[in-house]
Amino acid sequence: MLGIGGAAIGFGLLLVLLFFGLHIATSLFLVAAFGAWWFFGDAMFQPFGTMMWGTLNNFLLVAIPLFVFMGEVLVRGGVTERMYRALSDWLTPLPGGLLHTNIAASTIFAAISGSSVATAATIGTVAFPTFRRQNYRESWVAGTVASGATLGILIPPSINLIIYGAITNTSIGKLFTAGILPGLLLSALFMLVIVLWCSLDHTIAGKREKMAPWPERRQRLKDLLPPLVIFIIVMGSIYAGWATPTEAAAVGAVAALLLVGLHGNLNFSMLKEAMLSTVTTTAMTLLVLVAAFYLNFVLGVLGVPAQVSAVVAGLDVPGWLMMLLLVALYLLLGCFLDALAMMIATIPIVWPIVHYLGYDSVWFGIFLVMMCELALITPPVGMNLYIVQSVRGRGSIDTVIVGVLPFLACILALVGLIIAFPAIVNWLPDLMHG
Amino acid sequence: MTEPLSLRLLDGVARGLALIAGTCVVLLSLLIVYDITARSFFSHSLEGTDELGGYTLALIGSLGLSYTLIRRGHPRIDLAFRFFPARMRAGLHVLALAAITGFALFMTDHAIGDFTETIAFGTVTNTPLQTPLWVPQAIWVFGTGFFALTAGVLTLHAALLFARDPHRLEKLYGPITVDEEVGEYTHADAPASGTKES
Repeated sequence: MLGIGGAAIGFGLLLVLLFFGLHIATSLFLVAAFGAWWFFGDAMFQPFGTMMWGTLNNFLLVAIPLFVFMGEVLVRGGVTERMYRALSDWLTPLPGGLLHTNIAASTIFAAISGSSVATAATIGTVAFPTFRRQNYRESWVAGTVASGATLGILIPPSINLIIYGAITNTSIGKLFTAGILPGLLLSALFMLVIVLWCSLDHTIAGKREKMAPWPERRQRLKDLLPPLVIFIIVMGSIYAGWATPTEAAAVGAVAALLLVGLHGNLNFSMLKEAMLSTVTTTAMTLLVLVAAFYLNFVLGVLGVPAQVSAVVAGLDVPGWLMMLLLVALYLLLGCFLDALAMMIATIPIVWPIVHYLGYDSVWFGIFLVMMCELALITPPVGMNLYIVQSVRGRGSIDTVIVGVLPFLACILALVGLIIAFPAIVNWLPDLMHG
Repeated sequence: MTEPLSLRLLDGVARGLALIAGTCVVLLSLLIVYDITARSFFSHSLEGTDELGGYTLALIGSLGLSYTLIRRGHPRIDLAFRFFPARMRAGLHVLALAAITGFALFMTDHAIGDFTETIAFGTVTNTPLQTPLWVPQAIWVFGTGFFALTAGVLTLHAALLFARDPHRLEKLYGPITVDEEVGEYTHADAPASGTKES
């Protein structure tokens, strides 16, 4: 069957098509169709229709539009702005002051939305004017917003984890649960870096804003409730086994509508925008997935995953070194590929290696999502860098790139930790029943 | 400058279809919540929300494709070709549209293949709902077919613009800019493309 060399040629072809600006879905499909046709002729086109219908009908994936809709409603309903203000009241006294608000707000926001664009755009819009008034160093402001927004795909609900679960047949409930601890750890690491750096260099944080008076702070604390309540409803019902992730997503969506409605921010045009945005995001993802499932199928028939395992088994390389090589490979790919495309295109080839090394599929899902986080903030195509730059609206993107460096190091440190101690990932999901 | 009537019509229909799919998402979430409530407190279940969920997804994944294409929502990687000369870049936009049209035609062809088989065998799903499978599959065929039509028309329009107005080609069919994406959430007007090349 197809050797490793052939697979590498296929991957090279994929990169060429992508770099010439074909749509990601088209590129994946063309590579798959070409491989199928080259080795088997027209016969391998036969199952495409049934596979496409299967992808579009996949009950696991139904969670995607529901979660996207939930996030859209909450963002457009102004929940983020209010939450940001409430958090800033309490975090100002820490060294680094408002910078912590960016991380904390992103963390909570990650728990109600899976979109980095929405997170970086909304938090950036609230953050930059405030920070400028108080003379914070711009690279740190930009760095915290861009890096904080990567938490969205690690902390549940996460669209990337749903997609991973659907491709690899891994329980989405377990994946979501597994994302919580590393997500909180990463958020804590981010804040630790801010505290350390700002204690050493007092010029980073600008002038300290006076804390709001106590009654006002207590009053605003209630603005933190909506996101927390929604997170607890969604994750609680999944963890308890009371609802499937898709059902939990539906509950979250209805809860979001009710909460925004209570605040009087629900109107027809906002609802329409949220629906259109949901459809666009989902349709885009589905088209990529249809192509990806077909590519996986073709690779499977060609025996590529088995070949990869055989080759890795033959190598006399220690497991930790293999994992380091993978991290390096993903860092490199992440510099050039879109995070979602990178994840989808590499699963069939990399999963056999990781499995051979003794890691389970829940662990690998979290590992992959962390690789995607890195891809979101590594130049030249790191999406979040450009979003933050766009919100900032002035200066050079280099400022943003410099700003994310300390946080990039945090993510790498956590990746090292989960490689050395897989229990960080597996402990919580292993406690789940079933 | 306004677009030709045919394009505006296409845009309108695509938007309408996307809104139908979006409305189904809202209805589905209400239905699921009702189902959970009923099953927890009144121990009766609707049976079949899973299946309806799957059809909703199929609705988005077929009816929503055209609108997503028109709004440039299908992702492309703008890394290498942003450095290409404008003329070549414009040519690549046409090529990308032509390629996605080919993909869409392939999908439609296979969707029709599956659909005719469903009709021939009179397939009914093996579920409590016992849905005649041709009903959701007809929407699937229609959605992918309309996607192929949209992609084809856009390819033609892009090819025309390639000869007449490359600047407009970039604006209409170039990859979506980050400013535009961010503008969606910041309520700021997206800056007019053309004044601001990526």
